[in-house]
Amino acid sequence: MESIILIITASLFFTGIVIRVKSMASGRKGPGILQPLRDIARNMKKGGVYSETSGIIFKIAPSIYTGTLITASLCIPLGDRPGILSFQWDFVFFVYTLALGKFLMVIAALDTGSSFEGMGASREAFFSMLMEPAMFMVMGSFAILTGKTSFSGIFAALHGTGISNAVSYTMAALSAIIIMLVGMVENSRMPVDDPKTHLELTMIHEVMILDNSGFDLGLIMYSSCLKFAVFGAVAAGLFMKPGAGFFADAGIFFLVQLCYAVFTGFMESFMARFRMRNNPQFIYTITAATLLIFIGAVHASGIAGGKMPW
Amino acid sequence: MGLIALSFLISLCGIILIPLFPVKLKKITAVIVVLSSGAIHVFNAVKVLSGGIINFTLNAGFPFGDLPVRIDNLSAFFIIVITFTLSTGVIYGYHYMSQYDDEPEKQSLHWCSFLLLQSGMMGVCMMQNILAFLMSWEVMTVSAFILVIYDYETPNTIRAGLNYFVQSHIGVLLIITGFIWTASAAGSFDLAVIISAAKNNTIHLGTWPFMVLFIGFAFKAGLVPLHTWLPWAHPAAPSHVSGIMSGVIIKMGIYGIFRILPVYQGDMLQIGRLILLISAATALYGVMVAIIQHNLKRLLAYHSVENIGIIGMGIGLGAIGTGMGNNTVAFVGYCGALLHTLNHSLFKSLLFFTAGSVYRKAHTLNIEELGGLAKKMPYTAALFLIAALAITGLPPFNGFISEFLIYSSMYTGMTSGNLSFSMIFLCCIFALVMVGGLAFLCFTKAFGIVFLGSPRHHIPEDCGEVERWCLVPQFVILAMILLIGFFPLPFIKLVSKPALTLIPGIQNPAEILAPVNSTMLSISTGAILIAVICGAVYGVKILVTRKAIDRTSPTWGCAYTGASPKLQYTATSFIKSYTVIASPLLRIKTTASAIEGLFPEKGEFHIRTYDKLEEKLIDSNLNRVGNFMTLFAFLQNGLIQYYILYGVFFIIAVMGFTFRKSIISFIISFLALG
Repeated sequence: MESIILIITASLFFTGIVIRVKSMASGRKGPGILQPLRDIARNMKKGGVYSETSGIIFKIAPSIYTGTLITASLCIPLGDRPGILSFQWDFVFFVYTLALGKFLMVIAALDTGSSFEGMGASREAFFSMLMEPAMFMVMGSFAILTGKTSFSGIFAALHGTGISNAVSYTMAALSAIIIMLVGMVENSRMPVDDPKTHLELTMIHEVMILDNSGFDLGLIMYSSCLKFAVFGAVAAGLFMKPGAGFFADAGIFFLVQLCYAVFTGFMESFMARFRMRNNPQFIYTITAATLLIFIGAVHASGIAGGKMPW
Repeated sequence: MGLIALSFLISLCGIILIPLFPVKLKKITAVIVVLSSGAIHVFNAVKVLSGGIINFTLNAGFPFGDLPVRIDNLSAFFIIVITFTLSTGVIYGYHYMSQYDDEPEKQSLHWCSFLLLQSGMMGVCMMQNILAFLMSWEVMTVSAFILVIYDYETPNTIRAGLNYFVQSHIGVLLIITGFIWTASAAGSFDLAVIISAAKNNTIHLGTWPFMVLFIGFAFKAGLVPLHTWLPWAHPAAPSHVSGIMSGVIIKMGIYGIFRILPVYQGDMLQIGRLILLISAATALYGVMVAIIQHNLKRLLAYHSVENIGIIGMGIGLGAIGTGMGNNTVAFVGYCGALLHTLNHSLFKSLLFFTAGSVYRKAHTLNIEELGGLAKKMPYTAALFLIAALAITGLPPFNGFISEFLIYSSMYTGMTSGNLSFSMIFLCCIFALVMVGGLAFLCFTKAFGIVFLGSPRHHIPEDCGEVERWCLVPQFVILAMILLIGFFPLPFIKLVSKPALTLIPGIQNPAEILAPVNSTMLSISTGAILIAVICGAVYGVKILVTRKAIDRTSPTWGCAYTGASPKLQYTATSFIKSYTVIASPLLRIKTTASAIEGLFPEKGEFHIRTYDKLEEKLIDSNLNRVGNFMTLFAFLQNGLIQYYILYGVFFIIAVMGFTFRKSIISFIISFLALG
């Protein structure tokens, strides 16, 4: 219960911080941190413009997208405090629930019959297909390392329960970076996609939602913030020590979220977007990096024959 | 016993009566017979599952002798799955075949074969005498062949049908060989006797008889590379037959593999690993080729290959778990395989039925020509969408439950502390995730292009929703999909019974079942939460925007105003990024004429896809065999007297071989005398 409240709190500020970091990096003052929220609220009050081609799918898809995202975030624990949904291998449910929302968004884009949105939908489906294995590999490796089976079990057993701190924190840091990168690809941010330019032919997510307007657009914009916070929360969980108390955990939580937002902001300020054909390589590099975590987990847990003397 | 005989008798009566009736009555008879006979079978099966295996011996006289008829948990489970799909299929078929009502003779044959198919499949599930099993198997195969070639005037259909017929019979040949091998070793035709002998090591079979049988059943199931008949036969058959074929007929191969698993006498780890890896390859290859298909039914057929792969992964996991002595891995793996068998029969038959409705109304199955059907056939579109979500394995639908079981079996095995198996499980998890992702791509394409947007080609004016009675069986399947997705517990209980009988030496089943049950309860909560939260978000939308005014306008074309349906993304363009990456593994041929000049002429673009494995493994070898066989073409000269001569030669050769000793001794004595 605590985790979902913290995630929603973090989601309110996340994009604001990213934008602020970007403005500061380019020497501007930039809008207030709550400006994205005001944009979302303004959009939500408006009536929508619906295409003549589109039908019911287009109208319900954004709601389902947000709904599945909220449901998925219920799986995320805060340290050793399990989320509302916590069961064996709940990360499988987490990833597949996110995929359900994405499925609806992709077909909603095809519902408009626009070639731009078809292109965005095609790329979104393609990249999310490539992105899916990373999360499974990371969490599976931690399951080997800790012998636990759910998000909360893994987070509770990672530090201070028999695995040396050097190993556990190194793996946590590496995994946190991977999960953050996964979050950025999922959110279609740099370096895979550029959220600023709506009308370029090279876009993914932004061109997919070209026809959405009003409340739906507001929902999609909020979902993007929430998705950041959810992946940030998973990354934060990797650093929490069991039994550290709520405020210590919350502190770590917001610190990691802040780092994530600043990281995203700097990344978008100083990197150019990849060419579209390089994206699969980038995504598979992330997936390949998860193998490092697997190897680390195999060695540290001793199933490779004898524990390493770390 | 009386009930079983009664159900077969009903089918027999139906087969006799159908040719005598007018066309409408034929179909009604078929529906009544399938439903009533199916009801009896399900009644028996439920009785078996609630404890009380039906087991009696039937004296069938020459050449069978005593026929053991046995319905155990495994048979009962398959009987229920088969009967459900056949019942929905026959009701759907009633309407689907109305487009052929001017062909009463063909319909007689069709519906008689349908009843025969039901009896054959039930026989396969019940008969435990090898000869009777093979007879039922043959009845099933041949009747399915007749069902497939309904439209036999079309050369493609008859070719596809023959392809199926020949390949099935290669499988049958292997099954016969394997069974004779085991039977002669055990000295009995009773499968239970053979299995108990193999288990107690009173006979030594080794691995080979099992392998032969496994390959034989793999032909039916369609494991790669033995899948090549499947994508031809499914599109050629009428849609209700495709649904039944994909839903249950290929599952008989899975049933066979389950049945013969105890015959295997070697290391369970090794056979489990083999099955797991073959199946993972099957799943990946199936979905990879499915994506590039442009015929909707062919696409679905390749997805059957994929799903058979997923089921096979469950079987492999079960065997590995048994070998490792890890009962959780084994139990959850088998449960996943069995539940996916049920799930796949549901959503795949639904997909084929909806595809059939599309064909009936739009008269084409070419994805590139369709579009915007959701407005014309809203119910069909909704049904297809739910089935597509289910087959992609997304919660809260049934496909997720079985895939989750297989995932959890693999993860449990991965964390159990055996390095080499951890690596294998890691690869298989990777494969299964990729399968999920590729299925995602494939079904966003299939649903999005066929049902959404605007029509890409001329679609008939009268294209509309199908009849209400045609939708009823589809909604029944939909209800089952949702039921399993939201409340998986009773279905876990259903599959746990046959799964437990497959694992030898389980002491305390409740101990293994408890964590699975609690996980399923949580998933059920999760599924309900998805529905509630999505509904709530939509409710908030309605509430907030109740005063705002919605407008309609043309799709935003980025300031380009000359938009037309031709500008839409097509299926080929939708999967373009995928085909670029995957092209080394696929066979795609494009021919295009470039558009040139200020006033371009008509441009052309053709794309043709083919199965690379089929080309490399089957077609090239067939050509080789064909070339060799042409050496003997001179024998077939069309002159009847030659053929009689060949017969005479053959008889002389046979007689000469039989009496070879006496002939030789006669010659020797003749020479000695001389």
